[in-house]
Amino acid sequence: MLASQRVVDATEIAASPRRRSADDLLRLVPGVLLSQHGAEGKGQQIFLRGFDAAHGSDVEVLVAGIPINELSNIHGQGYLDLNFMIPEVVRSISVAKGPFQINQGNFANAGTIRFELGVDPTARGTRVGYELGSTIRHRGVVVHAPRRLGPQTFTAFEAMRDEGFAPGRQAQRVSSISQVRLIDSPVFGSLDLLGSGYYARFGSPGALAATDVASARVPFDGVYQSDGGGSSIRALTSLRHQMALGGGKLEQRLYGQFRHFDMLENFTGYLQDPVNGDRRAQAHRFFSAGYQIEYQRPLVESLVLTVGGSWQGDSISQVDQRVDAGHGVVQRNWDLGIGQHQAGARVGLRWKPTRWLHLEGGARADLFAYDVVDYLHDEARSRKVLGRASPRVLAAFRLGSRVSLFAAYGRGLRAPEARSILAGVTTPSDVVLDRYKGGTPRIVPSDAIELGGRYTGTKYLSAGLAAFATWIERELVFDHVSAVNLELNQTRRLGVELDVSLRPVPWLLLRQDLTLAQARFVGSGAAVPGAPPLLSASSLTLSHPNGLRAGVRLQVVGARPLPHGARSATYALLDVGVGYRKGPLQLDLQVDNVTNAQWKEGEYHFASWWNRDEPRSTLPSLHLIAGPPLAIRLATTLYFM
Amino acid sequence: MMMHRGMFVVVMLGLGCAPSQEAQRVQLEVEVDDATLVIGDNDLGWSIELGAARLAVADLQFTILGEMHEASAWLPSWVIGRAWAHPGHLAGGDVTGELTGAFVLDWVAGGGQRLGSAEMLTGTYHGLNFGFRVAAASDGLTGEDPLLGHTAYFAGTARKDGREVVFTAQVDIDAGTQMVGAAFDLEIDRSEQALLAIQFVPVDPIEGLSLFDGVDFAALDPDGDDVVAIVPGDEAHNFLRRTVQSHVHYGVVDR
Repeated sequence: MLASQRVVDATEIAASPRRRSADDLLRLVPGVLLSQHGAEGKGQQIFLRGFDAAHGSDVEVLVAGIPINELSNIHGQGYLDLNFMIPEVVRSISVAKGPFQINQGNFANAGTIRFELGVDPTARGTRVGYELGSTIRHRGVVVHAPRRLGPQTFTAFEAMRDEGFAPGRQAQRVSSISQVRLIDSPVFGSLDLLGSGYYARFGSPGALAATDVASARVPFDGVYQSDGGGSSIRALTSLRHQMALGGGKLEQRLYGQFRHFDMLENFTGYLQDPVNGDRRAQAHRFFSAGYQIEYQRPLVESLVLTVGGSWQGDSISQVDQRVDAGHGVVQRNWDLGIGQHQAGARVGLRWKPTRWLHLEGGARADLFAYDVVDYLHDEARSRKVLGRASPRVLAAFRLGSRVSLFAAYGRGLRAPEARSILAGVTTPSDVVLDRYKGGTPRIVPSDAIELGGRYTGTKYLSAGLAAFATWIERELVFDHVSAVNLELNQTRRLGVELDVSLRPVPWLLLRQDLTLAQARFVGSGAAVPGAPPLLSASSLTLSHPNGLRAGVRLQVVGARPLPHGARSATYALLDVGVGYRKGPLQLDLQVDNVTNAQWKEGEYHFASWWNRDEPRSTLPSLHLIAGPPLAIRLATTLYFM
Repeated sequence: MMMHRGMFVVVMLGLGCAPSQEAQRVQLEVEVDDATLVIGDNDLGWSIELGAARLAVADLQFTILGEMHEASAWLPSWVIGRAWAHPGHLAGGDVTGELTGAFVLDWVAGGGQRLGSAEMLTGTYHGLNFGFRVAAASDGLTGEDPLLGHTAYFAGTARKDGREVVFTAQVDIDAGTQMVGAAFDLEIDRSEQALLAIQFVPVDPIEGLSLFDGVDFAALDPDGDDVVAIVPGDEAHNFLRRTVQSHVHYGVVDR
């Protein structure tokens, strides 16, 4: 446990405002900023601890222990789509910031977020819910969690259709998740089966040039083209086995996944192709299978050994092409067949020599193997195997019964995407390959430290303060257009996180989270684009035994540095939710953006050319994606116990 | 509601609410510079003196390196594509300055010719790009102008072992072809008042590469009249066509 770690439980989740989907639940994680530049159903852009993790490249997310980040996704490395989860069956969200624990794997440079699924005893039974929203939103949900069974067993179904607050924001999805405990034996342990199916379609408004909005050429929440959007399918299953073995605890998991992701976007108008436009159509399919094992066993009373391993194999096909207004292919950019394997092994010790000292140390080794066939270049084939060891240590000192101090060091990693290993294959033929000093794909390591303290007072007050720093020596980014791996200068991220929780009565929780982060290139001192330097979230969660529940959340986001010296706007959002349950009936009212603030959910700095009557300019300029205005949702839930 | 929003604004101001901010831009004049039009030798030993050097180009672009590590910085920026796929990406090689339009750069008679005012974002610049095009009458060329209908025109004298050959060369390059990555090292801040001068560098001072490398003027003069005309289709034209596109023969300096 570190000062920055946090667990959000089901009660807080249920009362929190703005919980349109499980993706939105990430907003409950202190220090996380989400930016949706598509519509509900597309993975969000994630910012954490000074990282612009794009769609998940630096934040590891696991659902029921299954890694959700998609290595080598065509749309973004580590792509995260959490919309398949149904919020009503998220039992807890636990957050481990930084890469300090040996069970944190690929993409955990900024941290790891774990979603546990289940239904707590107090919420068990059968419930049927319907939600009506001001954006012509309809959402129905059914959860069946037999009271006589444990929290692991449930089945849930969700269907949603939302016209969205403006063009390009329409979304619809159906999702089901079921988990059942098949075996619960003192001899053989427990065996849980999880199954999930998900289908979604969503719009994508694209970004608007700020000058076009200012001149009223396009509305603040408008679109240039109305055909942006995509679809997403996921089928997921897993078997988790836990048992006591040899005085220790064994846990193993076998899982399989199928994914289908299609996307059509145009961010640059006609800049690249003045005739057909710059629409990009992406298609990504994969089958995946994986296995995890972990064994924990006390060696002596104060010393616990942990060993673990994991493997995941993916079979991927991915296509990226520029298409015209009729979606006919203009240019094929990528057409790849990929086989990739991720394997990891870890060993660690947890030592508690005295009541006031807790030490953890260990290391993990990760191996990535790629086999890529490039169908656009005579089926050229590239193979690559990469490995990296990552040490992790942390220490906790108890100063009395209420104060603990923490110190941790860890090395995180981000594996390259499969496309990057083709860099030497698809480069122009008249370029001497031995000049490609920066072109070798490799695992990007990060070195992070955290120092902090936590005060866990009486039942009323808890507070934590953590200072963190992360260094990346030479970050490698793969440029998708030129197919070249580029090395960036050294970066460092420094920051402070503060959280205070006050629970004056058992049914009322007040929280204040504050994150200050500074991300810089070490040599030039220039800001690393994207990451917010200030994030503040103030929240009130009320869950009264008489059936009243409420959530209020004010989030303030500081101005984010953008490329070339531009800067995004500061904004603040106030969301409110209130609900009341009487007997079998529960009513909930959620109001997003209570002040109806006109805010920019996404701000970017790049070149585009939409109005072909004007001269084409390649100079970057501010672009924005409007955030949702005031929206109201009214939900009713009927419980059958 | 009004009061509610008013309170909200007060809270925001207290938190240091700030609007979006565009990158800072400056306007800098651009001219043609003839200072580096030196006489040089090609790889076959011909000493060349240019009496005419004109090039039809379009849309000057100025690029920054960004935070690319030096291990990658040797990459010519035409290799480093622009990340059209997704906004917000900054990997270096970005175009952050431009002077749009069609120009005929005359490095002999047109020294000091003003091309216009370039719009530049502040930053540290490292490169110049431009597009090649075909010169037309709209460039103010008369019907007899040897550049008309071509991309480049050179004229001069080549000397070797006491022999002197007078030559002309018309070069055709497909419209839209880009020259990318000419040297341009300048840090431009908000108060910058530099005059950007576009240079032609017939002999690359670093590697000694000449614009006329591979051209044997004696072999081009079978009748021995010491007059040579290089035109599209000639083997020598293909040498020139390649070298004219090379970034090593151009540069930008601050005047």
